[in-house]
Amino acid sequence: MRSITRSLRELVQYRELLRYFIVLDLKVRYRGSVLGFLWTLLNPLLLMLVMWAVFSRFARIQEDSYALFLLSGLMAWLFFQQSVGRSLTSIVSNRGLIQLIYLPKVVFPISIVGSNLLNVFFFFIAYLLIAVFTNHGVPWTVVMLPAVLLMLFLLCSGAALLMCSLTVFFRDFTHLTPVLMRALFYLTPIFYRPDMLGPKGAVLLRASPVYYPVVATREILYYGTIPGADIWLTGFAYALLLLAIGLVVFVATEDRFVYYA
Amino acid sequence: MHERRTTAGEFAIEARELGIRYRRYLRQVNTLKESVVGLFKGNHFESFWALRGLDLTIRKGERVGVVGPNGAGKTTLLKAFSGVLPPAEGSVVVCGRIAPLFGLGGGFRNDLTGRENIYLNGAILGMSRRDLEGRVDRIVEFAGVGDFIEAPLHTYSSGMRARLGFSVATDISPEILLLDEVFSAGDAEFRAKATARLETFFKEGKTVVVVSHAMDQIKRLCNRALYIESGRVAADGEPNEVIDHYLEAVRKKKEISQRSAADDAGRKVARDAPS
Repeated sequence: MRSITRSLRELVQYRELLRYFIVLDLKVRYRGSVLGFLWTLLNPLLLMLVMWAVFSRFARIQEDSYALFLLSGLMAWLFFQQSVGRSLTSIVSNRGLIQLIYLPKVVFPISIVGSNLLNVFFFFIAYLLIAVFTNHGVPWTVVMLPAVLLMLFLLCSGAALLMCSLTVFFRDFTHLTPVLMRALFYLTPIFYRPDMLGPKGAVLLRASPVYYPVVATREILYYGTIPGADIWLTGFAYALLLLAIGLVVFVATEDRFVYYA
Repeated sequence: MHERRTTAGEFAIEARELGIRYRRYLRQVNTLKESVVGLFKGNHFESFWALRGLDLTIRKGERVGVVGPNGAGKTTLLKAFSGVLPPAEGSVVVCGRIAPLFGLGGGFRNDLTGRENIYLNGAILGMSRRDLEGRVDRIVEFAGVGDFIEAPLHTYSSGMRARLGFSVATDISPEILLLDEVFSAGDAEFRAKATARLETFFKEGKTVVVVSHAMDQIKRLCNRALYIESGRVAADGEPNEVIDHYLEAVRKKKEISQRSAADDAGRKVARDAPS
């Protein structure tokens, strides 16, 4: 079995490749479409519009700006969903390359998380535009965004490492994960407030690791409040735990990828 | 395990008790359900040792030709050296920069330009951007793809792709070269150029491991030969002797199969003959 330090050292050694994969992922994703890179901005906005049209009617949530309420929740959620969803098959779909040339496999999932991190910045710009446009404004607490993004990055890296290794051995996860993601989406307070599920519901919501970055993003972007110590501590503890699990599983199985992928 | 060292040692590649195991699927099992079912039904695959118990030291500057029948484990050996196939048993230690010249351009992407692919392929081989910047013009020139370098790769002919792949892989001034069959892509002119470049590597005292079915090439280029048979080293030593040994084994096998075929035919004639 390989060691975790070796995998991390290789990630640093092959940082050029990592950077390349990130650029490629962004380049190729929208190549051939008329609006191209603009889709990074448009996609979340359109999604928000659809959800706004649906939930503002049915959920009857009293918020200053339900659109921004939704967007602030979607920002962290989409980062997570895209990172896991797209890195799921990142090892399997690069089978040809893995069987031909040696390269550290860790660059495949991490480059996808990295490209999603860049996407978040575009999402953030979309949010700023709407916040200014609707006169809601952006509170000063926005300066804490890097800390939330760090939490998200650790969480997503862990989940991506774990899921892409499992998918090598069990292709079931390509079918199972979208369903689990959908369930997690409803279990995360994105289009509703956490207090709307009552005290028992709140306990359930807090069991999900995605709860913390979603709630923290909303507090600093939308409400302009500082997330409580429990949000930071539990959020980072969850993120680091998932990262540890992801790394251990990935490193333990990495040597077998080439034989199973 | 497979280990790479950049420090100088007296050997280039050392394999100890090396074993590479493939899975040969009896039924394809890739899902949870099937693997749970498999627990009760027994194994869905059998292990197959492509290489086993292989002890080998390749010293710096040795040019090793690997011969043997199809499926003996020759390509597996190269892939074990390059680190693509992690060993199931034993260890491989490689000292020095290694350039696998098989699967050239395997990391190429059709939607990127030739130039972008040079950077991508260089990064896959572990080169830094700064390192590559000084080499790009030379790589383009050697590949002889001209203006096409700014065009996406799907507009390239297969020869152009191979030329670009070869040019990137051999420009990194490797210390150890791994070749699966001597390079044969491109037109006559490029082949001559490629052969000349390889021969300078040979003259510069680089370590070379080449798998080939062309015995005359191995006799001409190599100073050591390995005969691999069923995942083991059947003979190791001076190229002429090893190749003679290999050809002798091939001849014997052929004789045996011919004789048994003749026996079968004889029995058939006897059986069919009217009594």
